[in-house]
Amino acid sequence: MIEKNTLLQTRLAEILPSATFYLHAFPILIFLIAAMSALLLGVFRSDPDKPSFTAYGLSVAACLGGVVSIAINHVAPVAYLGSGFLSDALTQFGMLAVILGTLATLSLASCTNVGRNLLRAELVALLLTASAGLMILLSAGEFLTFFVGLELTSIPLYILVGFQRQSERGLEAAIKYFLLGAVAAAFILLGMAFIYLNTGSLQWSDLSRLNLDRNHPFAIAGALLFASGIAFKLALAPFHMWAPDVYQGANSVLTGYMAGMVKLGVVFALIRILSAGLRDSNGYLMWIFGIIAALSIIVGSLFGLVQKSVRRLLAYSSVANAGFFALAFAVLAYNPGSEISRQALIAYTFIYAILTLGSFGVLAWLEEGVEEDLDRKSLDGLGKKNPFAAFAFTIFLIGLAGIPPVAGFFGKLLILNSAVSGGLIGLAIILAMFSTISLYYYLSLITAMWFHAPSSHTAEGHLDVTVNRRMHWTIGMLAAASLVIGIVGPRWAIKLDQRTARQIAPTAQIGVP
Amino acid sequence: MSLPELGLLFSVLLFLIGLFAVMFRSNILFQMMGIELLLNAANLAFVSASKMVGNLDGQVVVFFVMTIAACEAAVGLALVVALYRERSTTETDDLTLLRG
Repeated sequence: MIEKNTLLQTRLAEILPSATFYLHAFPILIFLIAAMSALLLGVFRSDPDKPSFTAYGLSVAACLGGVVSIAINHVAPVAYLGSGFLSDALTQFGMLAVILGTLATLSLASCTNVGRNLLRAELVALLLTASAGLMILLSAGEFLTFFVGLELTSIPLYILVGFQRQSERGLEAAIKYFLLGAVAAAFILLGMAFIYLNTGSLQWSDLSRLNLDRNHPFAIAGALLFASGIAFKLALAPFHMWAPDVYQGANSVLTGYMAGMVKLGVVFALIRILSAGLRDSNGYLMWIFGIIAALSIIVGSLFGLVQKSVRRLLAYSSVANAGFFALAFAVLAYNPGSEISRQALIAYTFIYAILTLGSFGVLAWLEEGVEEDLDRKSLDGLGKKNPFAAFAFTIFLIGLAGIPPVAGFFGKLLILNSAVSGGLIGLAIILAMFSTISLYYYLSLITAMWFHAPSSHTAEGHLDVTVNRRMHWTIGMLAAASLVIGIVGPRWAIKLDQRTARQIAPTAQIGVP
Repeated sequence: MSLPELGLLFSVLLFLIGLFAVMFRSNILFQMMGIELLLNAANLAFVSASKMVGNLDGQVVVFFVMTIAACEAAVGLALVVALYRERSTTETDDLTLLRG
């Protein structure tokens, strides 16, 4: 009897988190608590359709609390909940990025009139829940938590895309996003089931037992299903069809969040999966990701050339940029120990999130008072009408294109470098070539802004004086961040990434407290 | 063929049926039924795999997935209602506002 009790106690001690768990998972917990409180606030309001600035303040406070807790936490690779929650440098960095991204999204939403009307308690609650889901996603160490985190992010986003109930475009985008997102989730789930069938465990540290060879068709099918589900979520070709429609239909600020932050979460989780010591001796995974990478950059740069709507153009640009993620995945699948490609992925996703948030933020600004979404003509002569917005947009576009002074170049360089040193030279050449082609559409937007004469079409982005300054600040901060990382950044950014990349403990090596 | 293997095979079949429903039906409600089939197929695969592997991890997943599927259905139906109020349609063929 006594023996049984001690056994139970040791089992419980294994399962129940210790006190430090609550410290390490504080950002997630505080985001969820703030989301619930915001929902409650919404219930007690007399007019629920009015924007709630209490909820807004609450969310900002949650973000600040999260940042503080990350700053004071000691980083040591630890696994909690049976590796359901890993706390290491990657978790810390990712959480910080997610919190800052949420803060930027909230701030951008509060700047435009459209966004302010949307800023009801429910929107705040959904945004915070999605962010909490992202943080769960990037700290997961096994498939179940990963899936729960992924869905905790996706489901609020389906609602957020259709949050403007009067907007037919928004609803259409939400339905499309929902249907394809749900199918993608099912793909990921079946892939997980097949991988589980092969390894007998949901832990990523046991992924090294996965037999990816011809005698185990279910394992290969599982990897394929899992990879295609991930490709759906990252908007990689040939699973990118939803992206242009959804980006065009949703509110710009939320699109920026959806495009930038979700990718960050998924990519960070994939870094963990791929560096868990998968044995891909036949190169199946490498081929899957390699083909996806090549297709994405080709589709993204060629289809982007013919788009009229600026948002659709940015959607194809995001497909092209996601091709670089896939390239780094291929390198990592081929050589799980490749620290250089982990580093490149961490740097590039972070930079990409800044650039995406910034460029969609500028679009939200310019769309103020415009019914339809902007086409290329509406950028004509923007440099004369609203030089600040034009300048910031130029920086973000240059970054997305990957031209030197801005951080985007540095991210792409790191990824291509890791591909070349990883032996995937052909793929690296394809990606470099097609990103030169995609330069055309970025540059055509920039020339339209600075060298065309303004016309009656030109969007001005006229804001009230009070919010105008905050908009300048938010956009300015994002632009400055991408410039600073691009110019002075490489050295310390590489150092930071190196530290983070080295400390991503493959889950097997993480000690249990 | 043992029972779990049969279950695995059946789950693949179920998944294909669900996929066909999502791809070839144009009514959103039928597509949502297809999505439920997809998720339940994955559940069945997890349960069968759990029996074949010999631990209970896979069976635990099923409970989580059932909850998530319920959330997804709730959100999906809410979107369909909102769409029907605005556009009086539940056919995906009528969703043609967003085009390049």
